[in-house]
Amino acid sequence: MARVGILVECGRDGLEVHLCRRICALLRVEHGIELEEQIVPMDNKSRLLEECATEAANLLGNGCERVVVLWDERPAWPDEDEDLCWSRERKAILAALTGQGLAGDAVCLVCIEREFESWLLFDERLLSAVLSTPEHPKRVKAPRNPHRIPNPKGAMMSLLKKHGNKRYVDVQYARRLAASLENLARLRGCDTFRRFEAKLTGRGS
Amino acid sequence: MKPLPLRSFRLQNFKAVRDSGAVHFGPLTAFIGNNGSGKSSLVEGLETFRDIVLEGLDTALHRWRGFEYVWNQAVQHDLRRPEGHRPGHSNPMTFRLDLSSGAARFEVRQTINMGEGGNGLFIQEEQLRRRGQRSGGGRLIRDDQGKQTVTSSPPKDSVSHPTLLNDGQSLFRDWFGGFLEQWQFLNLVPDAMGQPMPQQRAGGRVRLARNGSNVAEYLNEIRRLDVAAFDGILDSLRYVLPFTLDLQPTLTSELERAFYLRLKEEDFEVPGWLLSTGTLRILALLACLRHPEPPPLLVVEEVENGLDPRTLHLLVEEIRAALYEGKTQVILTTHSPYLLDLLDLSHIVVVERVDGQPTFTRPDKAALAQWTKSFSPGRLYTMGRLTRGD
Repeated sequence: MARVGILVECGRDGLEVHLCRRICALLRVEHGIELEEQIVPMDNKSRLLEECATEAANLLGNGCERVVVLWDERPAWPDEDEDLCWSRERKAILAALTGQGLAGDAVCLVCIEREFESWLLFDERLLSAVLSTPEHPKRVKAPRNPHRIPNPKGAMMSLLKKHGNKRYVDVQYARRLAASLENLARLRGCDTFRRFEAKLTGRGS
Repeated sequence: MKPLPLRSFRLQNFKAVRDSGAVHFGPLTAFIGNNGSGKSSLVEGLETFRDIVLEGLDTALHRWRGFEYVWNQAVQHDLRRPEGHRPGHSNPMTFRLDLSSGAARFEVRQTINMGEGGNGLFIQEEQLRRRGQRSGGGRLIRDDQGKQTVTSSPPKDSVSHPTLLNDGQSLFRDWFGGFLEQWQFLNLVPDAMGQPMPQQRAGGRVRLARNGSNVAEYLNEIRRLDVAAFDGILDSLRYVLPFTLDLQPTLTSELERAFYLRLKEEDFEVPGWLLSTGTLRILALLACLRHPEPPPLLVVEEVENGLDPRTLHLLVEEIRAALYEGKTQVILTTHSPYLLDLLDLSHIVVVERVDGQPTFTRPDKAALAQWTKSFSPGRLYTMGRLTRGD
């Protein structure tokens, strides 16, 4: 049984916690691998950057084979005038890991282009399922080039408003989204998801 | 995003605040500071201005048991008799706001003063100026006889209205009272929120009381206006309390017509007065943020009280969604570095006493750039990096 640690930037019971748990469950089925995930919600990006090295060392010290650090390129409160830059954060994490003596393959970094909702926007079946009720099935069209949508969370908000006059609040929809994710086929259309999958399973780059 | 209803506020000689300077607001602003630093004074000053305009001086100041108690005592108040003007004291209480309503942007100023002998209290001067326009403003002053002169802008017809307004009535009520009426100030008191409260029977919009006491009736109105919005509140509440099946604002008329809350869990019901303080608080906040016609300005004191970290995450996401829809501007006061961690540095105003005076400072993002790479806003605050440190 491969034990893998995952550091995410949401809070307890947040979107990434539920979805990563579900993704691991699907990976076990699809790949037929034995994988046990330990997901650590770091609460926010600042804390993730501050404490990821310490937490990764803890996870590795407690039997994890490897640790994946997953974070959004887009800040929680983006400044429209500021360019997104994942490499700055990557450098900061790598420096912290080196300081902790964790250089090497044991800790893998995956920065999602834009943010976690970018992955979800690749899967129109997932979105349709979340928006549907038994009485009112909905069919959502997949947005074009979801990875290029500048504000994926905003796109989710607009989508829910349009289909059913609902408000998208990620923590509130986390369980429902996880339960409705049936497979990973659509998510694999996204480069950063494929990288995440490869790092989790230890197969490929 | 629509134009922000409140762009800036400057408060002078109110409670401990001698002169706040112009405090600028964004879509979300969070004041943090030590106990007694003056963060509440600023929002109370804003609320008092609103109350003076809507209710008149005497009623607005009942809350403070009189003007004397909220007139800053750190400065001299000497009687002045300027020629042609009504006698008043130096260092009057002054409110200055930069507001937007629809496409219009205007600056308003109101001065409150005390007359000779310390008995008479009056609105000394009110001025409204539309920004970017030559006309559309006006100014009211009271002369040495107590008569009022309203001058339109540009000055062409000065009109005297000796009986139009009494000393405590604001000219602004007619000009933009409807706009201020929609502002929501909250300082929630869960004990009051759980109890049955008399129904508002005279019609009109139900506004949430400052202490949240009529939250049941407020929720009932949301359900009447927009069932989807009410269901959204219930869904969000289920995130906080996963065992919640239903929430019913209920009208009873056993002794008097009163609204109270009932929360259904499994096969039993919990009345409002048994709900936890955190549940009642988050319910009132969700009701404001998800109201189909939300308040354009929502001001919440000590927003984190009674909320666990998981619920605070929910609250911040709810605020984010409300801001995204562009209908609400939010102002918070907080003591919680944890909450700050969920916000951006640009949202934060640090309140601290410098030489005994409350000061309001926005952290300098550029100067803190190096620190923000390594530390979250809450950590920076507890490390003293956001304060002036004088």
